[in-house]
Formats: sequence, structure tokens, C-alpha cells
Amino acid sequence: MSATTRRPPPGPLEYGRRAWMRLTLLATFVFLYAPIATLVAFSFNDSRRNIVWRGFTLKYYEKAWNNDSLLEAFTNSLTIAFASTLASTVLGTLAAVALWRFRFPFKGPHEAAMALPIVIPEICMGVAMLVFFARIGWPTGLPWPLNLGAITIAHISFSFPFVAVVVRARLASFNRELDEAARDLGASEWQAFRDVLVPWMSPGLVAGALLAFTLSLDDFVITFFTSGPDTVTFPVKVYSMVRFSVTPEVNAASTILIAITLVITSVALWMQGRTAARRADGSGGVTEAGSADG
Amino acid sequence: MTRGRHGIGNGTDRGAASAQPIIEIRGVTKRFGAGEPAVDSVDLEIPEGELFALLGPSGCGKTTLLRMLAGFETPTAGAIRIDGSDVAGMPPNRRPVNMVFQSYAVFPHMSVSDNVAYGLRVTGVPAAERRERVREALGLVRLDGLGARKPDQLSGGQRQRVALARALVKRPRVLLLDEPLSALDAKLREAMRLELVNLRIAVGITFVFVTHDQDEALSMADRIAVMERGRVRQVAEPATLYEYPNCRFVADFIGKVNLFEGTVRAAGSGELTLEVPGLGALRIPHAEPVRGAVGVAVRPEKVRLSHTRPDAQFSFEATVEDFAYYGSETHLFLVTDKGLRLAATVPNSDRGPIRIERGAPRFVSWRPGDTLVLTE
Amino acid sequence: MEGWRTNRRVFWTFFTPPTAWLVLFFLAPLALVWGFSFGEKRGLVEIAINGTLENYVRALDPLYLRIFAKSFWFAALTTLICLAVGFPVAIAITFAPSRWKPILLLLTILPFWTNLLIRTYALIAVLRTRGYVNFTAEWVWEKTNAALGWVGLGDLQLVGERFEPFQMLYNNTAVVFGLVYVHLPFMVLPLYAALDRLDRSYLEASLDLGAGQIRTFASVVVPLALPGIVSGVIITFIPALGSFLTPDLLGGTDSQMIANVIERQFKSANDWPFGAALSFILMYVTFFALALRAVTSRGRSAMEAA
Repeated sequence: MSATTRRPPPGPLEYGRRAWMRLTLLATFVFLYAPIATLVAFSFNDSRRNIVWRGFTLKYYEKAWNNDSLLEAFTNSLTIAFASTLASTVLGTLAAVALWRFRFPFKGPHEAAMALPIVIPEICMGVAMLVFFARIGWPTGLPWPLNLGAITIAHISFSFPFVAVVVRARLASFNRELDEAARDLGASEWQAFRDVLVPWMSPGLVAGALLAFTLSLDDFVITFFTSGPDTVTFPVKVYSMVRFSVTPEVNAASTILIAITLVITSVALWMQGRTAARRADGSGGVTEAGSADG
Repeated sequence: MTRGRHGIGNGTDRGAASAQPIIEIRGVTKRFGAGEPAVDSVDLEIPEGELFALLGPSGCGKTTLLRMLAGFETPTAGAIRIDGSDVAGMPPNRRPVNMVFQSYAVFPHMSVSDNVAYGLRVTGVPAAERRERVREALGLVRLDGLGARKPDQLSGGQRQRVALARALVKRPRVLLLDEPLSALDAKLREAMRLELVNLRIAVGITFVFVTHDQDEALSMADRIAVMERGRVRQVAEPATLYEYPNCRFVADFIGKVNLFEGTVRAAGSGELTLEVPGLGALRIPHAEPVRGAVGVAVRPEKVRLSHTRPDAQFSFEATVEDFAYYGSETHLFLVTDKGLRLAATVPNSDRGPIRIERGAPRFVSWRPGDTLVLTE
Repeated sequence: MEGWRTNRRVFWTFFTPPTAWLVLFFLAPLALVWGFSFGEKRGLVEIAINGTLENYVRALDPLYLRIFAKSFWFAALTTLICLAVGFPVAIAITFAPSRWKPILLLLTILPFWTNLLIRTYALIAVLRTRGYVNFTAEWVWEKTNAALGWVGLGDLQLVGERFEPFQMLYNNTAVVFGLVYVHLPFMVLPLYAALDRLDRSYLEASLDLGAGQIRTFASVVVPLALPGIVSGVIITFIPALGSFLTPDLLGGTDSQMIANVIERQFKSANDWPFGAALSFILMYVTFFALALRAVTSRGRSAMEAA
């Protein structure tokens, strides 16, 4: 190989091209992904114990599908996630707009309180929910899906502040002149909100909703404290199975959950990428316009 | 260059007897919290059909004043009348004015046509009429055929045209423009100045625009209000503003100026005798008798240079301290024998080499009538 | 931003629902727990809130102090390991070719989105005595043994008489390993954010002025990325300290952390007032750490303004 065709050695700041840096990256990602990858791979392995690949099978998926209590837990989880996402998106968006648009007394403490569900340890929130629902005499033994009410409420409480953060981040780049332009052209308060602000927020709304959905679907600790014997969610069910033993059946169920999460994440990232590309073109770009004067 | 515009909206031509002004601002003050007001007891009258500029440095309150006309800010005190009616408490969507925003605020999620049609749609103009008016408005700003485009497929200049069409399609009595050219690059800005002026003539309504760029204001406006720290310092036609500024701030803000501090020694019979340290006594024609300390100023291009002592009424000896070549002209920085510094601008009207040397002695003079006397 | 009075109707429409929800279904439950932490257990379910500090005093018992100390130690060790591993990773991502950057970032974030329970479960499946690591080790052992036998050394039993699986689970090491596994992305992301903001010309200036790579790292990169480092440390430390699932599933009998003790008070020991007090102590520690972060980030913005 001649000197002209060889790639030049890494420049002083091209750390990404240094061998030891690459090794660190590789090792880290192996560390992060090997367990999950193994779990996924062996959910398809036609053998209960051995490391040796014994052929592809879907029988554990079939088994998981025929496991009534697992299926019920899965249905519960999805039901809760849908209800929680809907409410969290609405509440989170309202909160984001209120905090973004208005000055009001005690705004600082209000914002701090809104951030609490995000920052406090899950265990603290879990016990708070347990105590709360036990003490106010929340009805138990309601027919499905009403019996999932307590868990759903708890999920909304920790999800909607996340939605508020995401939507508010999106609002931060909103050019207020767009809203003023709509008003100037004759739109009422409500028309300007519907025609200008909501379209602008929509990527944030979608991202927030997807976040709320995964948060709800993934939550174990807080649900663990609010669920009863007849309101088991998927993570709670997996927890009890894991305590018991590791089976390819649990692998299969986990793989399905990972797949759902992956799909949701891809959708979220794809939407983000799309809006980022559009914004890079700079259509509504001047954010601090008008602030220099007056 | 005659564009026939100085006759249309010229306040002094029409005099006090002209019809009711389209915009009347009476004692308007705007405070944001404590501290100095952003706009401080401003009085202005803008006659119909004028291209009026609000000019000033950033933070002078010009944008706040414009936003009060649009209805986005409420005056703390005073009254604004648009087309004869008091607009206090009237929300922006009900005012007979429309605005072109600094960022243009073209809705990124709507096509060009939808942007232009928006103001008609929300006020319930029927679809057929809407289509016709949108087509007309796009033609007016020469965007025919681009109606289906999205804003991110447009250049900066085209986006500005969309913003203009969108505001004009509403047929406002007054069009407000907030720094309309600041987001464009230098070449385009020059061309858009002429276009805006011609557009104003074509639609025949009043334009009020805010700018911090004196060239923009001077070259476009029929009249200019110069603002400083919330107050209007002078309202005049461009030439008056440049040649007869009424205060140090305006003289300094518009164009370049050599500004000295002096005192009036004697006044009377249309003449002033001024004493300027470093220049000595100056006798200049001046109508109003003034007294005390004054600012004495002269524009650099009025300063003449010669190798021999000129016949002018007053002249000084100075040496060239520094010079800068600008192609069309050369700027000289001179210092007199008494240590006073002043700048002169000389047109490079001859092609040959420029012969200026640092340290070379020159005679400096100007016509007494070119001296500005600034009492404020 | 406008004052709420300028448009009361709009303000209340947006303000009321989320605020009411927050007060009713979050602050009220917390207040209830807070009240119980000053209470006394009277009977099976009855609790009298009588303002006693008994529960907080009990938390100072050496038994619980040891658990607090251990939780701190676990969390601190986790944070340290994450920092040591995360820094090179963050640097590598920051200076990676722009085409690779989003992919590397995605790979870092993705575990975030994967269920914590499933990730912990995956660790168990891999690490337990009958897990994949040991299966692999056993397979290697068998092959080695066979190879040794084949070359005639089989009788020497060089690799042991029979395969002894590694005991990698249900001890403190497993807990810290699991905590690092779960929290590494928490560290990498703020570090990356700080490094990405860093103007490269600072590094180039340092190299240009004669400092070596290590010197540049120590005297330019670290000081300028300090707010990001502090942020990463605190963002990693807080959830690690309050971990429940990892010690519960990966730990042995003496790997209990605070969260496990709290859980026991509510689920099996049925001592709500004491659990409430422990839970609030954990919360106060969290607030303290967050305040620390706020102070350092305020210092940063002051620096940037200057």
C-alpha cells in the first residue's frame, strides 16, 4: 500500500479515531447490550438451558401467549399506558403552556413542585401512593378496567411533568411573533392557539406522549406499591416470575416488551429528526426577535 | 432622483390645515416595571399616505411604540387614535392596521397561499373572494406562482414578500413594519428599499417602519422621528434632519459629525459669535438668538482642505494625523495646532494616485453657513 | 411572557387542571406520608399523628445507620465507576465523525428506554450460576479438559476435577455491577452535553501553546466540563442511592439498601410511620444533592455571563 492511499493518522483532536477510544466504546456497548442481546437471542433457542444453539423456535412465545395471567398482565399494562398517556399529554401540555406563557405569583415554587415527581426517588413516590390510596379508602374490587384506576392515577402523576418538560422545551424555540402575527391578522386568542401554537407544539406533543407511554409501560417500583392481587401489570408479573426462576418464557415476554419500546423510540426519534431537519432550514428561526428594543 | 414621493406625505407641505392624520399619538408613555419608561410622553401625528420612519438606537423605544400601534402593548398613559378613533383596549385582531414582523413570522406549517389567506380565513371572508384577493396580493409582491411553496423553500427576500402580502391582503389603513430589512443580506437590502417605497406608492396607504439604520430611514422615509431613551428628539424630512439637526444626539446619530463645545459670545441681527476652544472665534449666520454653552458642529464632507490659506472667513492650520481610503472617498483625521481633532471627507473625484502623507500640514476651512449650532 | 392578569380566562384554563392534579394526586400523598413520619403506630392499621420524633431517632440506630452508610457507599462507588467509564465514552462520542455521532448517542440512550426490570433480569439470566456466562465457562472448561486429555495430560486435572460455576450473583459486587449497568447512560449524557458545548479552539489553543494531550485534558477539558461532570455525578448518584430493584434482585442478604428497608416497612413489617420517616430522610438527601447541582450550575451561568 502506498503512502498516498493510506488514511492519514488521526489528527490531534480526532479522539474518535484513536484505537483505545474505539476499544472503550466497543467494550461499553458490549457491556450495555450483551445481556439484552443474549436474552433476546435465547428466547428463540430451542433449548431450556444450554448455551449451545439448538435451532430457532417460537414455542416460548406461544407459551407466553397461552399463559393467561401473563397475557392479562400485559393487557393491564397496555390499558394503563393508554389511559395514562392520554391524560398526561393533556395535563402536561396545559402545564407547559401556562408556565411558558404567564408570569404569576409563586411561580418558582410551582415549577419546583412540578419537577418533584421527576426527581424524587421512585420508592418515595411508591409508598406515598400506597399510603394515599389506602387512607382515602379508594374502592377496591371494581370491575375491569376501573380497578386499574389507582395505578393509572399514579402513572399520570409521574408522567405528566415529563410531558410538560418536553413540550416546554419545544415551546422555548417558538417565535412569539408567529402568535402575534396570527392575532394581528385577525385571529382570536383561541384561533391563534389552534392554528399556530398547536401545530408548532405537535412534535413535542408526540414526543411527550411517547415518553409517557414508555414510562407507564416500564414502571415497576411505583406500580408495585399500588397494584393489588387482581391488578397485576406486566413488570409486576415479570418480577414475581423472576423471583421464582429464569425461563425462556419470560425471555419471550421481555423481548416483546423491548420490541414495543424500540418501535416507540424509533417513531419518536424519526419525528424529532424530521422537525430538526425542517428547522435547520430556518423558517421561523428568529427567536429573540423584538426583544432587543423596548 | 424624483420618485414623486416627497409631495405625497410631506407634513410641512400640507400644513395644519390638512385632513385628519391617520395616526395620532398623544402623550403616550409606556413603563415596564420600575425604572425609566420605555416610551416617554411621545406626541406624533402621521398623515395619511406617508412613509414614516421611527429611527433610533436599540432600546430607544421605537419597537415598543410600534407594538402599541399594533395593539401588542398597552400604553401606561396617553392616547392613540387610528383613523380618528381611540384604540385603547382594542385587541390587535380588531385594529385597522397590520404588521410585518422583524422575523417575518411566516407560519412555517402553512403554504405561501395559506399564509396569505390566513387573515381572511379567520375573519370569515368567503373562499372565492379569498382566492381572488390572495392571487392579487401575491401578484403585488411578485410572488405569482409560488403559492404552493412552503416557507422553508423560500429565500429570505421571498419570505419577506409573503409577510408583506399577508399583511396587505387585509387592506389595512396603516402597514407597520418592524425592522423590515434587518434580516436580509446587504445587496438584497438595497433593492428592497426601492421596492418598499414603490409598493407604498402602489397601494397608497400609510407605512410606518422602525429601523436602527439611518441610511435606511434617510433613503426611504418621507419623514423620520428620531428617538432616544423613550423620547422623540426630532421629527423632520430626511434632508432637514441631516442638515439641520436640533440637538447633539440627532447630529451625532445621523451621519458623521465633528462636534465641539463652545459658548455664544454675542448674538443679534441674524448672526452669532461663537467661541470654541482650539478654534477661536467664529461668526456664523443664525436666525435665533441663543445664549450660553452650545454644541458647534460641522459635517466632515463640508470641511475643505487646501495647501494654501483659503479666503474663507475662518480657516485653521492642521496636520494630517491619519487617513483611510474608501474608494469613492478618503477620510482624513486632522489635528489643529491647538490640539483639536477633526475629521474631513474628501471625494476621490480624480482618478490619479492619492497624495496624502501623514504629518503634512493643511489648511482647513468651511463655509460659516455650514456650521451647526446645537443648543440641546 | 405576560402577567396572568392580562388574560385571566386563558390563564385559569391552562393553569387549573395540571395544578389541581399535582396537588391532589401528588402533593397530598406526600403530605400524608410526611404526617405519618411524625406518627405512632396504634394497632394494626391505626396510626396517630402526634408529632413524635421517635421514628427519626430510630433511623439513627446503628443498624439503620449501617444501611444508610452502605447505600451511600454503593451509590458513590457506582458513580465513580460510571465517571471513569463514562468520560472516555463521552469524549469518544463527542469527537466521533459527525456521521457516527447520532448512532452512538442513540446506542447510549436506548437502554434508558428499555425496561429497568428487564435489564436487571437480563443480568440475572447472564450472571447466575446456571446463566450464560457460566454455561460458556463450562463449555470452555470441557473443551480445555478434552484437549488436555487428548494431549495426554488429562489425569493431571490442570483445570480442576470438575467445573465450579462462578458465584457472580447475590452479593455486593453484583449490586454495584448492576447499578453501574443501569446508571451508566445517566453519566454519559451530561458529560457528552458538556463536552459537545466545549469550543474546540480551547483545546487547539492549549495544544498550540505547547501542552500535551494529558495536560490539555487536565487543565482545559476538565475545568471547562466541570459543570457537566458535577451534573453527571449528581444525576447518577441520586437514583443509585434510591435504588430498590437492583439490590432486591441482585443482592444477597447483606446487600440491602435504604429503599429495601423502606419497602419492608410498608409491605411486610407494616410499620408505616418508620417507613415514612426513612422515606423522607431519603428525600431530604435527594434535595440536598439537587441543591448542590443548582448552586454549581448557577456558578456556571454567572461565569458565562461575565
